Amino acid sequence: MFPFSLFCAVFLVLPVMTIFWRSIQGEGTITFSHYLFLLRPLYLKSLVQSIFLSLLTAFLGMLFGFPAALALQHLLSHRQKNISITLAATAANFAGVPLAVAFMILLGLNGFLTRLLFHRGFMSSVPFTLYSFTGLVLLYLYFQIPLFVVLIMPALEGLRKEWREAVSTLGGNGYLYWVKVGFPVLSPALLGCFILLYANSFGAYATAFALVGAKFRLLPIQISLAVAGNVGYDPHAASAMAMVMIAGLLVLFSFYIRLRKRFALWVSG
Amino acid sequence: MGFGVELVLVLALIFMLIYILFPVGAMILFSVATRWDRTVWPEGYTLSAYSTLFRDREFWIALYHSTVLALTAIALSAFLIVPALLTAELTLPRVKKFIEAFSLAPFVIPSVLFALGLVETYASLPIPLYGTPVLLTLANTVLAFPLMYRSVENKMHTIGLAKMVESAITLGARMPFVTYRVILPNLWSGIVNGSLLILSMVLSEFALANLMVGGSWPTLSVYLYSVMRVDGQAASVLSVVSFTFTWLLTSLVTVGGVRRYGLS
Repeated sequence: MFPFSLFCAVFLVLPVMTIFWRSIQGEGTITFSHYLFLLRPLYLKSLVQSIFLSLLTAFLGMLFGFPAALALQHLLSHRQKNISITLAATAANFAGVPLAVAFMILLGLNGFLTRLLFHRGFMSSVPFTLYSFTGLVLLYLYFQIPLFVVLIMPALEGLRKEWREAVSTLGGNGYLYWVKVGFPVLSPALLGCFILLYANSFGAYATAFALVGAKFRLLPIQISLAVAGNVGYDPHAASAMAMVMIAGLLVLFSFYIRLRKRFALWVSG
Repeated sequence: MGFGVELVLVLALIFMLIYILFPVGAMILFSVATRWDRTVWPEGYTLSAYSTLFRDREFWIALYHSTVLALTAIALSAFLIVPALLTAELTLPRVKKFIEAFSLAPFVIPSVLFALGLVETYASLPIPLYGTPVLLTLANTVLAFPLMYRSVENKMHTIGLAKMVESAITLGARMPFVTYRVILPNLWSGIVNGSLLILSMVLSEFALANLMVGGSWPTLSVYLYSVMRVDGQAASVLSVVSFTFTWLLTSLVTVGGVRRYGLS
């Protein structure tokens, strides 16, 4: 136990404490002025854009992922289901530089679909560029949709057949079952998975960096510029942003843990 | 379920599968094309990009670096977590909460922030740790904690390892004997599971590697990033290899093992 504690203290607790210290470190005193950096246009835009990107991709991930998960659970054979889930899990793990490469080949300036749709006269001008916020949303959905499917699967498996049978015995139809039983029981799990998707996108760095580069306004990228020691990027301001991110994620995860407990109560009780 | 609803569900599933497979398909096709920038379909097919990559010394160096990182992270995380978890289980059940909190912390802290913390902590120290592969290895080990913790804890719980160890000690077995004859054989599949997840994580890890050592000690993904800007086809070959690896490792782990939040 001692080596583990020591290792965590030196390589986990100490770095986080250093970030906190840098974020309030003034010249000989303690100051909160570094947090005011967050109000500057560059950082404010990054914060807003990070939150918006995460909310949007988490929402779309849920919107497309939930029906897909239901189809997996109810309409496929056991074997088909296993193959699909392995594929989904692979996609959920496949992020970063190789994902950017794959999408560039498909949708880049001279990508396969770009040529197919635009250069062959289906459309006269190119209304869309991959190297933008929209492009980033498409890339994030590549891992967000399958991640939602994989995360919601255990909850779907936890819904009991008896509940559905009870509803139909009492004269209710499938619609009534979902409105009165299915969704109410699933809702904490759905919200929990939404939070995980949000967090997954909020901290993501590699995919965005590989696609749109170091100039893009997202919090992880702006913070990474300070890590790399770029001129004009103040470690104190970066630390203040980092603390805001950590605080936000901590709130979300504590909420997530409470949701998990509530769902566990239903399916085990 | 009505027919209309079923149709929507099936369409959603097909949409997801196409969304997953389409970019991968384009990537594979691009990697074997002789030329594919003027015509709708490739002008011809060749495996020369693959043989070029596998003859590239820098690729093997990057692969070597990534493998060293992965193996060290696997070994260190297992050596640190397994004894700590067992001791907590056997003697101080209350401490287990702390071990869990520390092991799962990297889920909450994005790796960019982690890199920032490590750089700010160790760059100014007189000991030459910052910017070296050693610090990168240690950082990767922390990122590996949640994966090893979940797999091992899960296994330990299902088979009731704490009770087994307790019985062995009560019957007079010594610690080395207990380790080799009770703990390791029973926990092995859990450790292997965690190791596969860590291998898959480290092989594609980019943030820490790029920010902490970058080009001076390139790992696979840093190498891929540098190749991507020069040679699209070489990058596609590497991405195909990376997808295949991720797929293989994911299907070896119990069905549905997602690295991040691995909540299967």
